[in-house]
Amino acid sequence: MRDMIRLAVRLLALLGINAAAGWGLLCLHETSLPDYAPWETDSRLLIMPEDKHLDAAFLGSSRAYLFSRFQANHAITEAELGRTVFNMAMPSGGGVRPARFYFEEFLARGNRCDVLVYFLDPFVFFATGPNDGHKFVWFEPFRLDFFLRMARDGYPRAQLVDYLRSKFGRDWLFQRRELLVEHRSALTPNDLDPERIRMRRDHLYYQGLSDATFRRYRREFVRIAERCEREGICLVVIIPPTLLGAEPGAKALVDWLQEERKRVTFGFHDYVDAVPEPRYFYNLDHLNTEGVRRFMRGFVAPALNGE
Amino acid sequence: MLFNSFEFMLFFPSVVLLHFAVPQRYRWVVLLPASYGFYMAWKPGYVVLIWLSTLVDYFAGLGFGRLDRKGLRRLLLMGSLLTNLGLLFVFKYYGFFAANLDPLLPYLGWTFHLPDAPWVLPVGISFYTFQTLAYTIEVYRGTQAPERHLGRFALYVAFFPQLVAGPIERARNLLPQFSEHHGFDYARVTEGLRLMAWGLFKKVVIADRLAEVVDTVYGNPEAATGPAVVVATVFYAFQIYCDFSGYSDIAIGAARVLGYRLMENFRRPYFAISIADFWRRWHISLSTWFRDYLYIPLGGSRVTAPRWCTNIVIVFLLSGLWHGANWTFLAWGALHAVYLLVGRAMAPFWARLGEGELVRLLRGVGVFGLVCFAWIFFRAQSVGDAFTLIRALSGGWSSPPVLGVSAVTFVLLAGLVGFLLAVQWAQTWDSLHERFTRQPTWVRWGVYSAALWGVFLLGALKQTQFIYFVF
Repeated sequence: MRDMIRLAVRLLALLGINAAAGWGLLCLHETSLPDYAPWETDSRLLIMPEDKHLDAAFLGSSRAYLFSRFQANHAITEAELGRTVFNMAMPSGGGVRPARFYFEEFLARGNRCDVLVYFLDPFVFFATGPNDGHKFVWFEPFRLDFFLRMARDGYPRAQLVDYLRSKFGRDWLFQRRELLVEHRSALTPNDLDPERIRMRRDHLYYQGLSDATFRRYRREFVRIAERCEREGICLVVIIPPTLLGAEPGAKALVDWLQEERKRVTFGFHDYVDAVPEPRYFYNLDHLNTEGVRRFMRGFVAPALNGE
Repeated sequence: MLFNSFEFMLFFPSVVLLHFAVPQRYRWVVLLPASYGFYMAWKPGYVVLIWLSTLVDYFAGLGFGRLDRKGLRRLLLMGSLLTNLGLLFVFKYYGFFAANLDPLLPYLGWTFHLPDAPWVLPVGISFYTFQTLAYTIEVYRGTQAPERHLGRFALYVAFFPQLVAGPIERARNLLPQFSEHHGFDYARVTEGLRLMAWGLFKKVVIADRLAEVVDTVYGNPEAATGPAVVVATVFYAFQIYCDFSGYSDIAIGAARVLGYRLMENFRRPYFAISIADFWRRWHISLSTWFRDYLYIPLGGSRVTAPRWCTNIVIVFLLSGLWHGANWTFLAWGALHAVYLLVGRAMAPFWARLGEGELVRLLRGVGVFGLVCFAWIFFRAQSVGDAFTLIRALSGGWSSPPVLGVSAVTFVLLAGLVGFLLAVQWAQTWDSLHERFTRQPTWVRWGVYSAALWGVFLLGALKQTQFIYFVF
């Protein structure tokens, strides 16, 4: 028995020493991180305010992430909407599950917003990659409470390990400001090649149209909507414009959202075809800076102003 | 359950605690359900096959102990062999035979088609079948007393550390240990834990990392170039070694923590200086199984030269087939048989060259090259793919290989292989483990910490299955 206790104590001591060393390194590194602006980093936690009241907060995938990840886009967005905005949308196909997680973190930090605009892409309901396997953990700082919430929420173990492990990787330890100013390049009508559109759709729907997956991630959206209702936040759902046409999962999503609106209150606008001109896009489903101006002025601002 | 899974991290300490908490005579009561639970974590229903195999060989063993008449004993032996090999055939080889026989049936005038196999291969079936067969044959021969305790015999068949990927234990080594007293010996337990840690390092840091390159090249043979095939094949040699020997190390280490000693399964095989030497070092528990229960009964080397050649070919073809129901494994086995026969024919030549260091080095490099060449067949999806890769060896030498990893990752992978070789080289003249345990605490803890960080930062922690699970 004594030997067993001795072994257990030594194993715990070994783990404890290494955990303390790792923690020390993380803390030391954290002090060296600069104060980032939204257009200088992919991390949302590093720029997330505390105890702030904002006019609007955004959720979404990369199609909405670019509204703030480019300095000019963010300025245009706030100017066109006439509101202060905190954008929590994620690159790389940010799904509903991480979006819900960011939103909860936003509220847990004592923040408030009058309106939450969720730029909702149909494809994020039909794949696990943008949800359970999303790489947001790679560009967020390690926060024990965030980690524990992820664990309690049942995030896949691989994601939790990746979250912790990525903080000791080269990309994190040697990160620098990554300033993105604006996106001026534009498509031409010649770029609307049906084959490219088909390939892009296939890429987004790499797991097909599984009803089980759809049902699973619908629940995440419902949790966001219900939380908004409880917090008195006005939720507005907008399907952002693309040049892909109606996505394979769009009809199912729109039908379901319309049905869901009978139960939970939120505004809904389908703007997928609202900006059909290729010159407003830098690729098939991402607006360039002029496209952001066009979309904000012509569609988002009226939607938020109830026009 | 995988050794490299989170579940095992909870399972193993719990079993260890329970195991040492109960008196020795009842420990099988802890280990047997734990072993079945370990197996059932994969596909619960297939545990029935283990039970069937266990019961057949248990009663066969008892029968051998009671029956004197040779004919009846032989009949009993045939019954056990037919049951075990029948299960193996149905679940492992039926699909292969059906797929290859079906196109031939019309030539025989048969109009029906053989149905597809609707089942998946039960994990570890080749291992536990061979283990129970070894017991039955030994009892039949009279070199092993039949085990009368069903619980302990069932544990011998299903002992979780070595159930799904060996080592294929012999009854004379493992069975008596289930009746011996094993206290919690600090030195033995830490030795076992160290071995488990080393095995895990080999699996998740070296093998699973090397797999990134191997999978890229072998997954697209048409696009492979000569340098890519060479690099991927050398990496595969170390991947499969680290994967399988890593599993064996974890199995042996886990058993040692519990107080049981399993047989050695690998002895630095890539330091072999002949193919025969390689087979004395690679998957020792299987090669000795084939030696004891097939090669020697066939006459071994005490037969005429042509008969001996035939014996070697039979043993290696069956060894290839044991690994999987695919022509690639048969080709791999046939190649090794050819290597061995040619190696034996060249023995006088090697003898004239002597045993100098340079000669040993050159022979070692040559053997490694031959083994790698055979691995091409072992790893390729089909014999056609293997020949595509072999043809690719001659081209593309003017451009850098496409390996699917960055230059930094490639250097890291090469460094890991170099590290493994350095560790094994250091073991050629002294036991690294003994030297390590003599070091001061701060050195040992430094190494433990480095290993922990190595697994954490470099390991592919996606819980990939061990390669030998499917054999």
